[in-house]
Amino acid sequence: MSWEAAVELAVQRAGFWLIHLNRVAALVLVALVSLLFFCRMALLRLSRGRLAGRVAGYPPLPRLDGMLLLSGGLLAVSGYWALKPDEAFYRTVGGAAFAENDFRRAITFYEPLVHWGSRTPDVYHQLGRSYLALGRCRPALSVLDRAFALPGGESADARVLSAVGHECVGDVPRALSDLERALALSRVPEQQEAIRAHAEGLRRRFPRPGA
Amino acid sequence: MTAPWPRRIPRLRLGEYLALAWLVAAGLLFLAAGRWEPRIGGEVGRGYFPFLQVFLLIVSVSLLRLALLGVGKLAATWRLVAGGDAAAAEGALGFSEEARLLRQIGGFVRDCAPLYLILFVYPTSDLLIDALQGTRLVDDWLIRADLALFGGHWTVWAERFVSPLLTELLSLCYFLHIVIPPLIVLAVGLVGPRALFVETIEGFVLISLLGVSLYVVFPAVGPYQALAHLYTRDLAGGVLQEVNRVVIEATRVPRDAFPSLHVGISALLLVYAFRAGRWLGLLVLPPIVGNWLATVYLRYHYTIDLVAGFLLAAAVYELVRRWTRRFPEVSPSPPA
Repeated sequence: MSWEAAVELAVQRAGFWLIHLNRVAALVLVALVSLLFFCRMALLRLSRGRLAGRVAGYPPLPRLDGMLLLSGGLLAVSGYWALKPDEAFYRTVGGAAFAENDFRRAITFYEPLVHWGSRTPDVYHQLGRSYLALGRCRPALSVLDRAFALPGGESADARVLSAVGHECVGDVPRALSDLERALALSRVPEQQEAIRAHAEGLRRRFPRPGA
Repeated sequence: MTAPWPRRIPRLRLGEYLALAWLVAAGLLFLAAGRWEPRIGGEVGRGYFPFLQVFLLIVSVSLLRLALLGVGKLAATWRLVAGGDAAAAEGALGFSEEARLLRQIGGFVRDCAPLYLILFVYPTSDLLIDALQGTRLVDDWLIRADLALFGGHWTVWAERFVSPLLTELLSLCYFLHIVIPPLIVLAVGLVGPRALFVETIEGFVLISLLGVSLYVVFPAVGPYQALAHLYTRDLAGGVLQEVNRVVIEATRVPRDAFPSLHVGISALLLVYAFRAGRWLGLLVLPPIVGNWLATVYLRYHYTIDLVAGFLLAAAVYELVRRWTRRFPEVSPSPPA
């Protein structure tokens, strides 16, 4: 890599990380403030019996309940946003790791997105590929099944991946059915040819009993 | 009796009116062209603008103060529950400090709101030029104006000074233009009266809007491309020139030569920096002057662009000053 390209990459990475950390810091701080306020209101509310008569300025019960509800709601919303992975960031970093064949690292970034219910089929496909590359066939199948349930999540490529996964766990009939589905989805003659060859190879290696 | 309808219109500040007016106009145009969503989505996704990042950082610092206050309050509440005295009760049950901090954050966010809106303006100029001007460029006019007014091209004349060290130094100054305006606005906010902070933001918003409008009216790519055939020497810089090139290419729009907002914005903010404190003005003066020189040396602008930038800065300064005097009720008063 030339030094100009290295400088360009370094500048882009520095900016990218700065933006991400800035966003995370703001979201985490909002959640922290909400948590502290909620704990304080909860403590005051729970100690009502001991404090209400003794301490001047103890808030009236409806006001205290209102603040408790408000802080609880704020905590739920801000906590969700603070914990939810930054999809653009995770996808970019996961994609970079995947492009470098660093599948373990790719999985660490794609997995949280899938756990938080990403609606982007590519995330599921890349995670499935990463699992398969590391020989983890069952998690790959589970992720691909979730991808197929998403709008636009079923493609010829993804079905071929699923076939590889089923072959890996020894479920040849499911692998063949995936390949048939992939053939139906594919619009590229070269890909259709490759899928047919794959299916034929499978049938030869695992002939049906009595066939 | 209800107030007559004009009095029910919320009283906005100059910058807020301007930013909203531009957003509505640009939004309607993009909606008509069917290009609103991808463009705005892209700009929100980029989010690298220094202003946005700096102000997010400031909000985070205020939130940190709020969190530290929250820890203290929680500890006081715990002491009160454990049988503490009146001091603990005051700490646990009082909300005035939180309210004050929250008001501070809210006020700051409102003061900066035009800046957030204006972030969309600069990149939209490219689409507006496409929509209104197509591929038309006015570089020829600007070149002719330079020849008529200044007898030649300063960017070509400046070739005699080209050296790797100077290229690096002026690249740094040009690059710092991205960093220095947010820092000046921040410093004015920290050390100056709030009224001056708001005036600074209004000035920044107005000059950005007028500058970008002029980009749309006079689209030009600048001497770096239009006069390329006249240059005989390479600028021969190093890492700093490369960093500057990468950052400027990533953040600029392609037809942003006339007027030079590098000159206009920095000149305007320099005045506000001096008003906030002489030391602040003197501190930012060298990189700002370097930035002015860099616009010519690095071949980004024609001489006429610089003149237009300075004139624009002077006009905006006067306009904002008059506006804030005319409508003092919408600008916060200086603290007593």
